[in-house]
Amino acid sequence: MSKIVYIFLSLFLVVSCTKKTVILDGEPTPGFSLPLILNLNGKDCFYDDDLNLLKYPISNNELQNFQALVKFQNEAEVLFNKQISLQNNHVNSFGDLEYHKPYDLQVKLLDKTLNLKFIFTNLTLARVVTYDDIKNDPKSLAKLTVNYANYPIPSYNKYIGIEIRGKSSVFNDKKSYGFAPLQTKALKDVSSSSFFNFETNHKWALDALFTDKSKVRNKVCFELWSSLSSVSIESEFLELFVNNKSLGLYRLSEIYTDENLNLSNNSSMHEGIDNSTFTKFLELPANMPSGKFWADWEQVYPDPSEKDSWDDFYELSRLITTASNAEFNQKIFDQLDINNTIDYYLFMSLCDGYDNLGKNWFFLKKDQTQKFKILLWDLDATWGRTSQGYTRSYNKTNENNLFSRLLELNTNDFRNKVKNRWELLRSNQFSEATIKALFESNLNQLANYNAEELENTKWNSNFNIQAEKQYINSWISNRLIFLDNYFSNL
Amino acid sequence: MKIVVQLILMIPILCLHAQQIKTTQDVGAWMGATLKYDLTKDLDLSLSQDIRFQESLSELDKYISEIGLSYKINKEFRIGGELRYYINQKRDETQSQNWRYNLDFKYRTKLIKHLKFRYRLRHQTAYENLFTAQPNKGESKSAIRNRVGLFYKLKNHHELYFTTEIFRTILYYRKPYFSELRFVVGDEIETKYGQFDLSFGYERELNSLYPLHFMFTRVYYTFKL
Repeated sequence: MSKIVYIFLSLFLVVSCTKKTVILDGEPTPGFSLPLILNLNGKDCFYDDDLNLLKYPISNNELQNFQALVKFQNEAEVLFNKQISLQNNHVNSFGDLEYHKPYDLQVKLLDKTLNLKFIFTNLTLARVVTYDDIKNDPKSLAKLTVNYANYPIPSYNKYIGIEIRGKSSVFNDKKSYGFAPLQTKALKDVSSSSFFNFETNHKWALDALFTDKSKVRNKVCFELWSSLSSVSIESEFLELFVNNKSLGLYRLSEIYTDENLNLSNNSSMHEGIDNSTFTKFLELPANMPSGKFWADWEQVYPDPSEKDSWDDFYELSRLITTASNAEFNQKIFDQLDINNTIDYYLFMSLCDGYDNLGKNWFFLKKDQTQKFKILLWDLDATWGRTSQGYTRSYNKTNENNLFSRLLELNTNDFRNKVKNRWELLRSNQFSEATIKALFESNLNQLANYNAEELENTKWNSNFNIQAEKQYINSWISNRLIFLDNYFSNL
Repeated sequence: MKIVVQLILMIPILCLHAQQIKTTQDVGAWMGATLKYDLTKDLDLSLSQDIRFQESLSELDKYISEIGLSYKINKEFRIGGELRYYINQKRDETQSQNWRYNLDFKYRTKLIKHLKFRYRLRHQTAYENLFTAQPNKGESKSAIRNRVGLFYKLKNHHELYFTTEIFRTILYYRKPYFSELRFVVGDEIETKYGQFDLSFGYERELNSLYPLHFMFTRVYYTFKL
């Protein structure tokens, strides 16, 4: 019998011995880090397996004679741009660099030579490292690293709970994500964080910008709205990686929470989640509200599992939907902030926000002494495009039962107030030059980020900044002529 | 055993520990001894020592000490549990001192003459670096293991067997996943000095882009007091 054992042992060692392979797209460690390929000045270069390239964000003033403390695997030899042999754990000089130029990078490890491209970018890079597929619900544990390019902000490196965001957009190839920063690896241990120069918050969104042909509609809308209202959303572009894959251009965005809205126990916030007769105030749901949902309305704050807060919103809905004209005229602006309502109506008229008059809007009441204010959300379907990205004519008006009744009944001289406000805004925030300049600056920013190539390569899309800029500019000009005429005849 | 040592010494030592370098194929050896004692008619106590090698038998993989109890419910069913202390030399060259407990449910039945079917359901939880000053001390890793096997009794005290086992790993920071598949073919040999279990195994990592294929020999000796 012992002979058999020896034969088997020998056979084992003959047919099989240790084999090792060099990999760049390695799996996460329990600490949610990925294999080190190249680290410059304490920041990992992010690897995109699809395109076999490394990316590193760098500021404008670092481009000339760039020097960095370089780290890579101890056993490796790394050659940059075919001529610079990088010294591990030393400060190396990379010479003068150009944004988005694909430099050669050669990594020798074991007996293998790996050739890849190395790109320096002016776009902030974010990488989510996770073991699990990111699903719609529940959240997956991950680690988020954000390396800024032109912001003098230290890199961000924390655990997050991340999930897919959106409703119809969850079926798109490119997903939007929502995430909550965590204090530890426990998903319930939510903490607050800040990105770019935004205020701290405990919920954030990564907008995939998939259907928006310009990628800037949301950002421009919120920037324009912030000149009218103290409550808006700040956001910034970045390139998102999940493990060793780039997912292209994203917009890291604030989300309305109790933290950034300074909400209290007496606050309430409700959102229209679908375009329906209920959310357009044409019909009052038959049942009384309770819990999270009431027809197509959702109680966003306070947490419905802790407290029902529908009374005031029910009363507002009833007033708009079923109250007599006399009661509506008498009470509506006791409930709704008139200035905010006019601005919201004008803003949605300006950008043709047809998708924001039933869903994609929030009603916020900060406390019992204050009136409801309307907040903007999800403005993809604006400025001449539908929510699927199709063109939409400049000469459409959009209403729901709230605005229809206000206009029809001329409540509190609503029509005149709208007209006057429009005229005032047209010579300021809503001037053609101001609006076009906002688009110009955001689209130029994307062009500088080389976002066209990034998106079209990753998603086989047809993102054309110049063509969309022309379309939007032309649409804005026509829209303003149309609306000037419309409001002057109001 | 002498030949094993000779073979080990013949193999050049390859010691790389970069994360970028993934072992995708390896050969190892597991060797151990168990002392068994009948506490009662149906209750066994076992003490065992186990040493495992990896990297073509050139490096220590695990050194294991284990104490276990096994209770025979009836002819077919058995339950048991073990407490294990082990030193784990990981492939990234770090080392941990871990504690692990196993809870077993076992079933065996005779299919035909000389041929038996055995099933084992095991829940195990390991605590990494428990009772140490390591920063990640006490992090737990659990697994549910399902093993089925066919055992064929030969003459001359030999029982040949083939088992297959699938591991489902449960980590608190990751959704449960199938992590490993193991096949073992072997021979349990009863002698007057105790039982020898000689076998050959093959393990494959699951849910990995670069799965490890691990082949190993096992030599275990069990002595019943």
